[in-house]
Amino acid sequence: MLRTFAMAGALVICIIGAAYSEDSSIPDLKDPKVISAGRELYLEKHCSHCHGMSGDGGVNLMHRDLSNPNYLFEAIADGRESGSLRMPAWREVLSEAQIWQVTAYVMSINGRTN
Amino acid sequence: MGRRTSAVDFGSAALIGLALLFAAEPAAAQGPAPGTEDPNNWPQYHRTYNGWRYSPLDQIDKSNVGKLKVAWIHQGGDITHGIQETPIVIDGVVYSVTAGNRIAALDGKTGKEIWRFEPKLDPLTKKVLFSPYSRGVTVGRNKVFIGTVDGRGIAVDQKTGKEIWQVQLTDFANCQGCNFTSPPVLANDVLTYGSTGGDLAAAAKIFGVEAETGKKLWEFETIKQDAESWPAESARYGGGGAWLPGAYDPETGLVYYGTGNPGKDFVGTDREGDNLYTDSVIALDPKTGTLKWYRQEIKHDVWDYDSAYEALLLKKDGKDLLVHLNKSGFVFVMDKANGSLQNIWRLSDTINFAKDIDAKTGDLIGRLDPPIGTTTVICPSPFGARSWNPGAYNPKTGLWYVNAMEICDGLTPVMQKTDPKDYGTPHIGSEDFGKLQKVAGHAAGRLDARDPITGERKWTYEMNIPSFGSVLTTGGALVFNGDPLGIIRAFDAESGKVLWNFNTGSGLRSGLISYAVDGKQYILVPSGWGSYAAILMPALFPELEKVPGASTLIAFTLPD
Repeated sequence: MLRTFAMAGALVICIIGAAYSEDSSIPDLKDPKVISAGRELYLEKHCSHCHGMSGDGGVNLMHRDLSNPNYLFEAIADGRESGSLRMPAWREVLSEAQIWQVTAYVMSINGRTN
Repeated sequence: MGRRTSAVDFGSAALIGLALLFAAEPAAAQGPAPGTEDPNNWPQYHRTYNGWRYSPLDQIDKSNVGKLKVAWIHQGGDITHGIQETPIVIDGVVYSVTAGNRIAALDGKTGKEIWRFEPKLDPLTKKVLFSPYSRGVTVGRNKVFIGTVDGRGIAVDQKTGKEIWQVQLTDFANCQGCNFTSPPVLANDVLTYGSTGGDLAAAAKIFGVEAETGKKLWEFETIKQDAESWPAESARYGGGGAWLPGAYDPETGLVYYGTGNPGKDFVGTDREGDNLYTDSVIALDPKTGTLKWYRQEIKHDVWDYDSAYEALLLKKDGKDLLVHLNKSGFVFVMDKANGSLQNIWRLSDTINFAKDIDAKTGDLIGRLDPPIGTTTVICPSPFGARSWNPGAYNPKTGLWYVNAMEICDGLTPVMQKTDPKDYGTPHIGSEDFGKLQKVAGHAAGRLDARDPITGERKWTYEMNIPSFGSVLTTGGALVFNGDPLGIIRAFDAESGKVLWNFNTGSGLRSGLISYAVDGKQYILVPSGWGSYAAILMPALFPELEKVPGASTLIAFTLPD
């Protein structure tokens, strides 16, 4: 039973991965221009308020796995509730392209240490 | 990890003149406070209108507090942003409000739920700042009243929890989410509601409402319509939230409120002027909303130094005084009849945003306005010399027990290009909340026992992490205080010695109270870490990152 779930999970990840890699509306998340635009939005919308200018704020991004672009996109778009903390949803504030830009910036933080 | 020290620390350059005059006798020389007639109850936010947070109950005292045990536990539902309330207790019934304005009436002996009311909130509340903060209810006229996080006033039946009326007061959808995070004040047949406003692109208001029907009677704009105080369009988003509960003083017939900071918090270049009535104590006629007097504590604030905190009312040498802590660390002692200054003393040891303050006029001397685009270390930090959670005054000792923190902040003001139109972006003139810093040679947190009028310190208890909860003091000569890691402690009110402690499992961000049912005294502790302190403080205190959220009421009592 566990193996079935594991295979189903892997399949979902593959499908998401395929969707991510084949969706032409998604910008190149490693493009420095996309990352820079994402940083501008990250500051303008005060993501830095909670997460810090470089991701090392009170809700520290460096302590989190930032490698899954789809997960990050959805967290930014739809908000997150974790424990007693709530992050607001940005889907109706930012366009999808802008959310991808912020995603690119957040992913660029991945692997840094503070 | 706390340390207790005894000290006589005048600690203030402003402690001059009249302070010495007042120091001649203890501050306790006054009669019983209104509301203390039934010591078993905790009938309003601070228990009594004078802001004392003092329960006369003395069954639990220094000799037996070490025997306290858990009587009951109640879970309050949604834990988002923890539990921030001060519960109300009347005739053995606990009235509690938790995240999202969920109200419950509980049996004070068992914690068993009698009724529950959960309003359907505007979905926008999931997007706005300061939601779903719920700091308390108001009980009176056979009703339980709340202000909601989507800007409504609601009254329910005290016995059944059934809704009686509701009224939309703020323009919630169009004011960047201005709402109510605190309970209204009941002044006879009028309720007053103070809205949020600071840190948002909004201008706050205080509303007067008929308690029986919910009919709106008046609005008071905390942002004065005055081009000298607010040039050009700056008043439009002036802030000035009255975001904490006010108090109705039956002696004067006035309602006192403190107001919050002007917006944008850290940039004042487009709002040159005093920015009235932000950072002020204001006295209103609750029948009409007419302003009777005001005292602005910080003119043209660029440090986020709200004046929203509690008004502590005391009588001394024939004078009726109002003692008021500003976030800047200065404590203003004023005549409650007109706001005239009697003294100013320092709660914070570390103040650098101004070199000094004129104790006679209240004017700042040598301001340090942080320049735009440059990082400047400002003390105290925008969290203030103390968080919003009130201190407690014990008439037996004449001491005010108050938390303090010594934390600075590296602030970099920026001109926000546009005023935010969405609900999640603050209007503060900075891209973050700065880099919080400890102060060398100072404990980050303290519980102080002070003369409330002179500031003289009788004892202090030092903490590595400051408390973000409210203090309780009792007739049993005890002081109760909790910390963000979840430890609640009982102190000897005279000496500061720790007599008891208990790990509640989550951080304290709320109001501790005491009440009695059938001759048995209880200490009621709302435990549940949350709010912006929970978001921002882990950057300075990494151990807070692992504190779990909760929304739990824990009642303690003595064994039979």
